[in-house]
Amino acid sequence: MASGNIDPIRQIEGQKTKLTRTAHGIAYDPVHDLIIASEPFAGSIVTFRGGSHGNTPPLRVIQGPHTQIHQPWGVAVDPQHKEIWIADYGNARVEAFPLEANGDVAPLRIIESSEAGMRLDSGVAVDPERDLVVVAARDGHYKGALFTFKRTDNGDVIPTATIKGPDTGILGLWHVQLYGGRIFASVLESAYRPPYDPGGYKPMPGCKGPISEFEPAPLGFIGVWNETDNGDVPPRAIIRGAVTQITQPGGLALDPADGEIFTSSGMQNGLLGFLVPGFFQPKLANGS
Amino acid sequence: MGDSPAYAAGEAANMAGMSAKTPAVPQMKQPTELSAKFLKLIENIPGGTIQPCSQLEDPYPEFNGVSIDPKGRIAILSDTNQKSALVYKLNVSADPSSRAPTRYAAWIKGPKTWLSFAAGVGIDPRRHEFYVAENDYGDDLARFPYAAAGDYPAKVLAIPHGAYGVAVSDKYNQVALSIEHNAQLIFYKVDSTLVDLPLRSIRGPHTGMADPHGIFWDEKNGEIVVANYGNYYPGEWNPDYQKGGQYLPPSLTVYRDDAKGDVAPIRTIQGAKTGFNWPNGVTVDDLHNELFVANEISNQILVFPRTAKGNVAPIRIIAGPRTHIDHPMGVAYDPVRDEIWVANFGHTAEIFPRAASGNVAPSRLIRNAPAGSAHAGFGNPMALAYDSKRDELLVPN
Repeated sequence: MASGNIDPIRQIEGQKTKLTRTAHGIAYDPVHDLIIASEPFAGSIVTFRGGSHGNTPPLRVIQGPHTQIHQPWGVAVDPQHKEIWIADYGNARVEAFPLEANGDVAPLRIIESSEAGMRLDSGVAVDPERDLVVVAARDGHYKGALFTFKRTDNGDVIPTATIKGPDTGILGLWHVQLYGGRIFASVLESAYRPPYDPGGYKPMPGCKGPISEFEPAPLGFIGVWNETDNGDVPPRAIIRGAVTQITQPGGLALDPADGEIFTSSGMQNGLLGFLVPGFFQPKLANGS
Repeated sequence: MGDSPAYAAGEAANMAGMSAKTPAVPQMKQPTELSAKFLKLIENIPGGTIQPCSQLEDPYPEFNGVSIDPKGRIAILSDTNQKSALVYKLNVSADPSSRAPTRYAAWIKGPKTWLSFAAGVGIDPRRHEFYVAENDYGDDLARFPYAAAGDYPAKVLAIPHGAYGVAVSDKYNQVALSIEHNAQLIFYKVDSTLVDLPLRSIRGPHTGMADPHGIFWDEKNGEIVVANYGNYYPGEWNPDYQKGGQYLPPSLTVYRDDAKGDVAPIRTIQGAKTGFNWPNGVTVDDLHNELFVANEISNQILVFPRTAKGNVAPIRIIAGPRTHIDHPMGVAYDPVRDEIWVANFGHTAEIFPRAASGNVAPSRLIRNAPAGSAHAGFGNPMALAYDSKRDELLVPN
């Protein structure tokens, strides 16, 4: 990745693109050469050709009441089964749509978990070979947790695994990626909480004022777990510490071929890249 | 666009507390420390304190909103990149041929300022104070005196998430904010702080607001003008909303400035002839009865008659490479000097004679970075994807 300050190579922007602010999710499908992004302000999912640029309309737009989309955040694509996954932050669920869905279409499957208290789903990733889906969300006590489900689950189900607890180091989460049987997560420990209710009417009960972005909080990190991990399990590998420049990571992308992990952050308003080829090997350096 | 009775029911439910389906994250005390066991465990696992092999960020400010006090002779420009606000004297020397950063009067920056994703700016010329709205992290309206500089401790007010435009009324002693997420204008008393409640709001399906951005309080004519991107979806914050999202045409909507509730605009400018392409900042020249719009993606300033309505074309357009207008976000009018200020999402702001038209050079050009500096263009990037085919990173902002 380039370093320093450079102009972007290309930009997709403008009224015709149907992009909106608060695009908390984006995914690239390397098999079909597609870019898929979530647009909460319009309740939509937009799909572009991979090489798109400028004020170009999307190839497809999933939008409408039958979609049951409310606050689409994280996006994942399963090129093998030709499915798009959405983490719906406002609806406490993840939804799967056909890759070529367009218009007001119902999801193929919806996964939610009242048993686990899964809510505020921010990130989702799919492993088509192991047939599972991992969701970065919060549990019933608003603690960050990684929930694993079977890819074909549908309805209100119990996760097959849940990674959470003090040994995980997870207070909050943002996004998640899967590769080679491992879970990569951006662990966001920020103390930020919106002072107002979601409807924007008045401050939440007990609110004493806004919470500053600079409010002290533990350093966030990139954590790596095995897809078979369950319970209060510490990460198998980690990128954390002042030297990393990571404070509260948000976006997360993997380039396994080059052994790189990238993360983006609104707090720093920038991107960081890490060369960690060992994280993508079948066995980590310590054998796990 | 919506169903008024259902909307009212949703409003009542929200006013009563959290929605049962989607409770907001309560403001409970969050743990501030990680377990000692975790901190010990991670000392011996692969990775750890690794230096980044690449780091991409812009070290200079990126302008966003602009507001001026012609009599107080200052201009305030917000900066989303370095999380700051820059103050310039209205008669700042800013020769367009100069390649050096323009001398600012003050740079307000630091944790005590509460500035993070700084968006709209509003000025109170009577109290000599200005406001900056946070569009994401922070959810606050930060207030400063004109003399503020450096890491100045702002007075802050908690506000709804996604605030953008700010405007102040001396007549009403109120400050108005546009809130993108809820498609509303919300009004507070000017000296409100912490959790002081709003006085009123304009919101609802009849307002025509859809992802509102820049606003302007036209006190002379008793109106508030709002620029709308057109994205509309109450379901984003209301899980009981069942009608699906919409992409409406972008617009300007105008309201009586004493309005409240679900009121229709008194005028709307909307349609293909307008040329709107993510209309952002807006300002009114109430001397010449003209309305200026920062048309972000088309790199234009559009000028309409103040009372224009319907599907109308602008009467003037300032655009072209000589103008240096590039992703304009904010626009402000100086009636004393008869000039237009344009703030770009990037490293420049331009000043033109009010009547400028076409591909004209600015009379002054403010730089917040040396000429030729790159502009990564990040605006709170919280998602990321890797395009393995092109070896590119995709960053939504």
